[in-house]
Amino acid sequence: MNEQRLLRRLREGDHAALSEIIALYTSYLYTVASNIMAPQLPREDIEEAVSDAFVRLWEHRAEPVPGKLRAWLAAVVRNRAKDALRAARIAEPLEDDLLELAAPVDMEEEALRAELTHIAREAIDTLGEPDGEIFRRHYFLYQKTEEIAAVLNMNGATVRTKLRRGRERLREYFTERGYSCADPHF
Amino acid sequence: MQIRISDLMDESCPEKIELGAEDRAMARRVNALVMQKLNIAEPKPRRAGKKPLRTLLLVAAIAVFMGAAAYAVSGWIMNMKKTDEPAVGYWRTADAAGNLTDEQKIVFPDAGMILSYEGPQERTNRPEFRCWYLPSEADFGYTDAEGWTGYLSDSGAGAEIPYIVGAGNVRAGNFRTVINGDVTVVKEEDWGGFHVTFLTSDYTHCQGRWVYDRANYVLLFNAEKGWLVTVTGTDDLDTLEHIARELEIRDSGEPAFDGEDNMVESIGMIDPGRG
Repeated sequence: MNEQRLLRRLREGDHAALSEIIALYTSYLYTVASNIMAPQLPREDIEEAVSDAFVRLWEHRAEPVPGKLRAWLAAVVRNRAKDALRAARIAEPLEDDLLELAAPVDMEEEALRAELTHIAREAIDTLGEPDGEIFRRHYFLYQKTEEIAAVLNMNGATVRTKLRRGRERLREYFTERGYSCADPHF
Repeated sequence: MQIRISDLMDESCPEKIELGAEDRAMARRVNALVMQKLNIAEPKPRRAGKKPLRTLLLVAAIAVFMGAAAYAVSGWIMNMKKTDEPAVGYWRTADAAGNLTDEQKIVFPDAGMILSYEGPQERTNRPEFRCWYLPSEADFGYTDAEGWTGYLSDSGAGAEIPYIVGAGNVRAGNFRTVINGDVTVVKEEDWGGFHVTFLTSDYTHCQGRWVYDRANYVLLFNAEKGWLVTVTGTDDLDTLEHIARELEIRDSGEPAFDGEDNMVESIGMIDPGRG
């Protein structure tokens, strides 16, 4: 399927293009949302989060660029899934997920979040492979360490070590850029 | 402040990682939910097999709209080149001044044939079609009340993706299309304005994971309009030819590319798939 053509049709208001995108990406998005929401929340809630991502796509259909549609949808469904957890007062699933950060200057929350996200991506890009993939699988896709270990044919301890190194790199990156940064887990 | 690492990962989606087993029933439920939330009527996919028209209808219909064509173009050429090397290309976008705004390298390690196009850069309207024969019920793609659409498929299950019919415009220059596997040209014919190529591809020696061992292709290329209508799938070539022969194809009246298009180079594939 040519994503460029699909996005063009979507921008033109073609409902059939939206349905084709739903057919293409529902399974992927359901898995991402399920990693966050299951087993605490039922299948219906997970499908609801997935459908919200496609609704947002329709309402913001000029935003995604060809080649990045799946990543755009995945970012949306992650946020929907986390919103659902918070609404149900259920703790987020990942351990070792917190950083203690202090910005070097006062910034508006949205600008600060954008900068932190950008710095995080740069830091992860320096990890090399498979460390970068492991970090993204865990912190973006919410895959558990044992699941990652099985997929990459490693043992769980190795995966956990690489995740710890990734967090260290992240902390170094923030520190080098003027942030006061601590990891509550060190 | 305390912040979650996972909350900082929105730009860090891992690429090339496939997740989730196909679940068509779930996709249909989600589609229904989305259409309900957007207050869009969800037309039933239609099996457009009520009128047994024949190839002559296709030829006649094409002759009619070709006669009325308003585009002063010299026509397009589709080049088909077999390869046993990986196809490497880029998705590149540029701003109005021609400065590159995004670049993504794409590699098709199993490429067996590369389609490239020459011709005018100007826009034509996109094609649409209706099917007067389908071997099985379509499960994706929506037709209007008269059966016209740009995409229709029976995406099947497991190793079977019976057929996918799609219609679009080719673009000249740095826009290429790949067919993967070991591709064989079975025959070529001319059908009243369309050059039709029948292909079959063997995927058994591919590096990637293809759900099927073989897929078949009927490519209908209209050189005057720059249209490529593809009938692909795991159904046998005779069945796909039957679908193709009973397609009615016309100008949709809608432009092929919108004003926001900023793509300057791309490479894609037309192998049947479910994503």
